[in-house]
Amino acid sequence: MATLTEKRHPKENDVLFVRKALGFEEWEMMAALGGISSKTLTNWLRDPRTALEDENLRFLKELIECAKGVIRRDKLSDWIHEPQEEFGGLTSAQMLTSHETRGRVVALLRQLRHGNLA
Amino acid sequence: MPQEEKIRGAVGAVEITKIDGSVYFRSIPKVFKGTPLEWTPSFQDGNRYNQKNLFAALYFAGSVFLAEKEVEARLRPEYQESRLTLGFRVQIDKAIDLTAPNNLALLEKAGVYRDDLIKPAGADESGYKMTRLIGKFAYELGIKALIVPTSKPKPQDMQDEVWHNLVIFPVPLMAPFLIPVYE
Repeated sequence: MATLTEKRHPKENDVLFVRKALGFEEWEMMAALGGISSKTLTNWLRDPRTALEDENLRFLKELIECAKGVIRRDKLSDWIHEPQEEFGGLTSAQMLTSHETRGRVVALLRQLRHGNLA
Repeated sequence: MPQEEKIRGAVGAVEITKIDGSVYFRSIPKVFKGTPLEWTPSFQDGNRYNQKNLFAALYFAGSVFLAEKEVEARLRPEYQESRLTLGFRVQIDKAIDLTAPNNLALLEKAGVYRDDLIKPAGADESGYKMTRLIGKFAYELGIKALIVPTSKPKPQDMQDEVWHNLVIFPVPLMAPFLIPVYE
């Protein structure tokens, strides 16, 4: 019989990691993961291996990576919930809940990374 | 005449100017100090004066203070990882100054006002519609840089500070390097 350690996938904490890093409420996490149900989120948190191939989860992980060196890790969840003037007053968290607008958050992080602002 | 064509005409009519050694600034995180002029992200993402996947543009501030203000408007100082501000001495022979009253007057005749140059993008980026058209037409004319107004208000105690931004199009800058090899 496999031990608990053997059962653990090296990336099995990804869903929880993303939720904590972004400080997302359950509904925000569900929306940012493409509108999954509460039940699916619960399943993914219980057994994150099922979520590993999810494109939305990969996107959120890349976003956290993109913030490295730009925003203090302990402030990322605060920043993501602040209104941005250039998003018309919406927060980055709100922009992340839509497939059409979420790329703008990554773009803003890259602009902050390269000082490409006007 | 459609407005787009009027804007194209206005951009073509504005006075060409030179930037002769003025220093412009960018505030970047310290860990990225090795790539301060990387323009691939600008090509991929677009920005105020450049449509994504069309051409790149690099954005600079006219003063150290303004460079920092541009960052702070998007990211509070207490949230920032360590940053540094780099200066760049700029020499460009073919630029247009969109802060000059006579050039703004030409744009106004095409229905573009100063407020259109400093609008926030908005959730759908519609706020950048006019500026991206101006950037596109300037780029097509081989203009290498735009001197542009900033949306950040100038503090009362900083009236002597340079308070505009600079947008450089890197590809027209490199165009003289081109040698046709094959027909």
